[in-house]
Amino acid sequence: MLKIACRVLFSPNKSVRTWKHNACSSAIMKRTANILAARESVHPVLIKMGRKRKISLASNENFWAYVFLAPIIIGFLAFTIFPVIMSFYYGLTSYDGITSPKFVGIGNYIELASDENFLKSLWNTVYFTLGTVPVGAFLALIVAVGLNAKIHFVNLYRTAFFIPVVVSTVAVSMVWQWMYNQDYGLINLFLGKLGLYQPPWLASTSWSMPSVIIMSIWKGLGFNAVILLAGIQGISPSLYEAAEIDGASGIQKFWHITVPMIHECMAFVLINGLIGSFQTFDQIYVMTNGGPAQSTQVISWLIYMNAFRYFKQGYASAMAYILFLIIFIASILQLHLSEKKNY
Amino acid sequence: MQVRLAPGVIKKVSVKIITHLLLIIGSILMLIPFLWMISSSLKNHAELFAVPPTFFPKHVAWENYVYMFSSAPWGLYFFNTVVITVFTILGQIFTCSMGAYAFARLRFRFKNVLFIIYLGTMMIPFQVVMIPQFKIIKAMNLIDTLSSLILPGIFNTFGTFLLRQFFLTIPKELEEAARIDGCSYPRVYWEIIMKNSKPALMTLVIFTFMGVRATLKCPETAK
Repeated sequence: MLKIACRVLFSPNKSVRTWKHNACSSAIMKRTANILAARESVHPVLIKMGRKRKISLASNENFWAYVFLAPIIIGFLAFTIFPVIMSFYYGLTSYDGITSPKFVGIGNYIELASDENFLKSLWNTVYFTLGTVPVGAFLALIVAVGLNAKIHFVNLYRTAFFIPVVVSTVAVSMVWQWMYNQDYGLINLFLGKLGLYQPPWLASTSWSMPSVIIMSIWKGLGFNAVILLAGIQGISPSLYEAAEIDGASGIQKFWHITVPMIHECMAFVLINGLIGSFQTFDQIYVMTNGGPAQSTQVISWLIYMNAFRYFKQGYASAMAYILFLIIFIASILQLHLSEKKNY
Repeated sequence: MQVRLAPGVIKKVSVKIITHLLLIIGSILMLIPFLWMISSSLKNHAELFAVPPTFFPKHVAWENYVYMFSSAPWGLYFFNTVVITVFTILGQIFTCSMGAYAFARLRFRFKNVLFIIYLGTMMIPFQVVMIPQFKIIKAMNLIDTLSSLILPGIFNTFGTFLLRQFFLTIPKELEEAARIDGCSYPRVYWEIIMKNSKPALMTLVIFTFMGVRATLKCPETAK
């Protein structure tokens, strides 16, 4: 009964009932109908029967489609759509997470606009993104070209570059924290042996962010390089052959063939990097915890602290929405730009 | 007669050598933190804080590993990680593949609208859904349980998209033939789509494995 009810509910028209009565009884008709349903790509497949009766064969497909979609639709509603609406509402309230939320309108957003802590974290996030994404993408491009070379041990090199991607951020953050140590760290040992300046790294407000940036570039390099490598391998060799005949040098081939041909992969690397770096949390949480003196306090860290340490969940939700807005605008802009650059 | 190498060959060989050198330097830079981790793990306390630091420990302190295993219930931690990872992977294979099959193969109402909305939500940062997810888990009385970490994780938009792209490449004729022989949609899904998608499913497993094993914030949030 439920099944039929569902069919009626999900069918594009009411004719399914007619089908139940008339067509179902005839096995031959059903078989023909199945063949037609499989062959035709028009939806819904309607076959005239007699003078006025129509049957819809696609209704069955419609029903099953929603059966298959049921798990993700339920999960999607419960863990994405509903939370998105709820956190928008929280953003308009003053809420400590325990007592019931008090509606304050856009009060949180007004408070954010003059919150120095928040503005500082916004700037830090932009600083982190500008430091990580362009430099990371450029280095990844060079690495990808190198890893594309037809030489011995290339798989060994590829593995070496990819290992940091596979390892948990928390674990490598601990190692880097140790390496950055001013007195016992490996990096300053090297710089000292070379007679170079030994920066205080994580201990100083001006070096803490560059430290996190270097570590993040190191962590993401392999992933970006593999994406770009896939793009490079997709370029037709005939382009390079034609350029060679015309006497193009290696560098010319790189700038005039490789770079334009992988712009889609590059756009992916940039957008992905942008979205990821706006949400950076793990390495900040482990390596600096926002310090020293808020110099590495990024937006997602501040949201987390407000939500689960200071219990200002309404305020944190408002911040999260600002972050959402920034990511949304940035993605649209990036997509737009990368489409315009079509060669 | 003297054997002379053509200038082109010399150039090619030198380019190869330079590439090797650069890649070796790059690889060492990528691997140094791991080597440093191993080296530090084998140093005793005094050497760990020695100025200047040493790269190769003078006295190999294996006792660090003995101490590590007795310092925390690592068995329990590993068990937790394994349980969360296995169940998340199983759940994702189930939900993602079913959704992907519908999006790739079946025709239904609101298909395009649903698909665009569904993909669009990939842009939503985790911070936005973090607090309400916590409330939902709390309302379900699952705080401090492993299920609280598994349940939100079994729905993966990226995984659905990945599988959909793969399912689109499976020849439609296979399915049509099965349908003509009277095969139902669930059987087509299982016998034809799933059994022909082992590489894509393995990719999903690897991605999920890497992502779940290394989660920090979600466990923190759901604590």
